[in-house]
Amino acid sequence: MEETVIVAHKIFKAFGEGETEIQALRNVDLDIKRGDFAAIVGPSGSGKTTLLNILCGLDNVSSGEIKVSGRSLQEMSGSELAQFRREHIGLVFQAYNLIPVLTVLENIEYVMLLQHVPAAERKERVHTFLAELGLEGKENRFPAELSGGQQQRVAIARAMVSKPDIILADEPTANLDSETGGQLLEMMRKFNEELKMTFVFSTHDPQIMERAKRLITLTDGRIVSDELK
Amino acid sequence: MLTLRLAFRNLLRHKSRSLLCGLSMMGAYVLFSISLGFSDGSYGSLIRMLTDTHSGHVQIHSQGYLERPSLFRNFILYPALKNQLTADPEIKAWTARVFSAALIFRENKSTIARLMAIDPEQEAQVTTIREKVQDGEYLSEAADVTNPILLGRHLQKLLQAKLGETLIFIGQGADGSIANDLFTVVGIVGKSSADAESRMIYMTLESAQEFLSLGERIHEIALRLENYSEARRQAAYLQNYLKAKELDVQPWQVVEEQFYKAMLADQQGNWITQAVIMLIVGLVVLITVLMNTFERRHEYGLLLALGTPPGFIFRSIIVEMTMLSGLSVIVGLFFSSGLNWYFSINGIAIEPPMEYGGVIFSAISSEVSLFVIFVPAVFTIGVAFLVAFFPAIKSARAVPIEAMREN
Repeated sequence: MEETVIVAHKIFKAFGEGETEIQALRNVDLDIKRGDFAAIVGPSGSGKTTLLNILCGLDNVSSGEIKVSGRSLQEMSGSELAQFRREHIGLVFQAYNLIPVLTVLENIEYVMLLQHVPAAERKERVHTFLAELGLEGKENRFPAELSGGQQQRVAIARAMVSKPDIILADEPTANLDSETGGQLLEMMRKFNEELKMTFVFSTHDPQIMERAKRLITLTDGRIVSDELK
Repeated sequence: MLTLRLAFRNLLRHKSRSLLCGLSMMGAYVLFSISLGFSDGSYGSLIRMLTDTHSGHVQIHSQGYLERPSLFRNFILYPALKNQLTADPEIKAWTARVFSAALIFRENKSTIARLMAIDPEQEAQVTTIREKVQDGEYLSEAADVTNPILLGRHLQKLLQAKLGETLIFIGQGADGSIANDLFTVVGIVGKSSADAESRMIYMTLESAQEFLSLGERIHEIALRLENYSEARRQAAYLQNYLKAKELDVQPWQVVEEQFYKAMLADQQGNWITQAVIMLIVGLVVLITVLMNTFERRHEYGLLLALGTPPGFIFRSIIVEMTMLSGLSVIVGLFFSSGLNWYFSINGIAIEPPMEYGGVIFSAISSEVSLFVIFVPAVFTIGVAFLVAFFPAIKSARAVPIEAMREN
């Protein structure tokens, strides 16, 4: 039986109070299994990004319970959550979000530096990813010197190089042309199949929907369908 | 290492902003250091001037003499004390003194004058008395003259006395008798009537002891040390040694209390000026840190989202500002040391000379010392650290998702 890495139970999330309150998530139940390649889809404002932020502990739930890798996120303090993300979760953002004052190499190895991974191992893993993502020769460039596609590859490398249990990617292809987006998705799919890494995407991109093994549809903060392909 | 790298690159990120902030910190350091240099240099010159011209660094009297000087509050300069003072390696020179007052007559003119009796050779090693002789000769050079005296310029004008003339002195002897004798003017001291020594008469210790029927007794011993800053320590040491002898040993700070208090009050004023300089620097640093941290809120959110410990973010902000202030201090050190060194040699003349606590002050000069280098450095870096502290805590405690929404 496949191990469940994320369990979300009766999740409610509201923004604002009183008359201005907006229910972003309503009674969401979700299990993500190890090795899933799942896409959360739905129209804008349906709660995809909110759900993703809650799954990694960046945002709090109004009620309900979230367990990731067996640990309840609500019981953790801010610094415990930071440590938990560092050890278990890789994040990919729509806007790349690289650290502008660090080079490509330094951005990729950043999380490993925080994890105190030995230098030799860091170097080996970074170079493997650089080769895999076609970024060789660009190690010493700064993010501003790269194209959007290249920056997103660096962001994906940064998320995956520390071998987290789960990768959560928020609209990773939204700012890329379809060809570059397609290439990156192929890479992620490859890592998913070869390394059994778990991927959860929030997306509008049909390319991701095509390649996803599981499609979770969210409408008005509710999961309206959850289908395996 | 990562913290240092991030801090350094962040400094280079907005070069002109970092440069401006660094320049203000450097300017404050230089100002602070020069102001301290001049303060220390000027007070040092004043203290040296005061102790060299009159008081010496430490004085020994009978108990109560300093508060109420009296002909009768005297003590015998016994051999053991002489040997102790001569053998002490910390004491460069020492001299015995007698003080009194007398009525002075010359033909139909008379005045009251203060007498100071000295051992001419030993006194010249403790103070600059020999250089004060403007006309005639110093006491030790008039060995063939009976009862030689140095007459102050003011008294000389008052009595219209000339070199080689004999004056009549009448005073009170320590044994209750009326003291009277003849004294010969061998030299005139003081450039003008305003000089402190212009109202004094200097004579030899032997002639004063005979005139005042003091025998071997004296009123004061003045000591010269290697450095005036050692005065308190040396006075305490000697006091401990002389406790049983009922003698009172005091450093120049007590002997010249009025001058010392005026100096301390002046120094307090300087510290207020320096605090204002630091306050201005603090504001400049605060504005820079606030601009940097507000501008990087999104990044701090991202770093926290990636799992960066909040302490790391706090450290990187503190290190960044400490690095900038450290660099500013290093650059400022070259300027301030150069300027302090130049002004320690050349000084700045004061026209007309001013009087400060009874000492005439004709120039101010600076000083180069570890104090002048390190105190402003510690203050500059300390202010940068303190000012960066709260923005750093605020950034480290940011809620990642909220911070990331700010762009």
